[in-house]
Amino acid sequence: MARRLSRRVVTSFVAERLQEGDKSVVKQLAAYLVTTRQIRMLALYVRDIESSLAKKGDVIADVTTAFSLSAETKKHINAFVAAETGALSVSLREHVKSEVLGGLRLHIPGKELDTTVQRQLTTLRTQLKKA
Amino acid sequence: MTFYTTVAEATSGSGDLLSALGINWQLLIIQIVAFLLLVALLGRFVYPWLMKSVDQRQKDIEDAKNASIEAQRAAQQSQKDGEALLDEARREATDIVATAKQEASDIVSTSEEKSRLVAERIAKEARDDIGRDVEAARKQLRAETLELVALATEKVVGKVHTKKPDEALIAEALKESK
Repeated sequence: MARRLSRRVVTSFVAERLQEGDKSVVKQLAAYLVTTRQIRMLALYVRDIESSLAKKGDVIADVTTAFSLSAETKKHINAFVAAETGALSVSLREHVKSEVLGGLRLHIPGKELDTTVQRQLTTLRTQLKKA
Repeated sequence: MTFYTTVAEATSGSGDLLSALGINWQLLIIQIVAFLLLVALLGRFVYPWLMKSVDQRQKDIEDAKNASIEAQRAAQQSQKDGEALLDEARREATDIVATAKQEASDIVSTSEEKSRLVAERIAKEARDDIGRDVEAARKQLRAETLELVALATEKVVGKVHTKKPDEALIAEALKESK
């Protein structure tokens, strides 16, 4: 059985290799997780790899909207993320969910921006209930 | 009869008076001495004892009489004491009855006051409960109204909001967030 390594060390190594363009490291990581029986930790590894990439200038942003994004809107979002994080390159991961009603929910490592109509309605509802 | 005859015959010779009377002076002297001796013996041994008994008897009678008088006086005193006690008891009974009446009256007054206070407290608690229930119902109604308004808003916005205004909304949000 393979020796277990620190998650930080593994994710940092994978992020470095990915930045160098070596995509085979993904398979190696999968093999490592299966061998060390850490499949359930996959989400955590992915998050940490994204954080490592973000520190190195490659930011992956999750965008949730009610409608699919147009090219112009994507451009605006890329510019916004680059300005906020100082990233050299920005990749968007789009999620279309009609229940957000409108606006966008943007999640980047260590930060979240939620301007959805659903969130605004929830905030309004909470404030009115407290009043 | 024989004795007298003998004495007469004996004294007829001497011819003296005592003899004529049929008295033998020697026998008389003996009888006198015997009588005196008897008196002396009685005086010495019988009379003191007899007198003592009589005195004792008299003393007992006197004592009994005194005791009787004393008992009579004690009975009179007891009767007086009894009457005094009865009077005292009547007075105390009257006092006790009066006190009991007063206490009963006080208890009734106190009970009425307590009942009034309890009734007021119960009424106040009921009013408070009703107030709280009304307030809770009002809050629940407000919350449910808010929920309904929010749901209605979501439905309306979901139907009327289209892609174009949404992009404008996103652009504005990004601009504001910078």
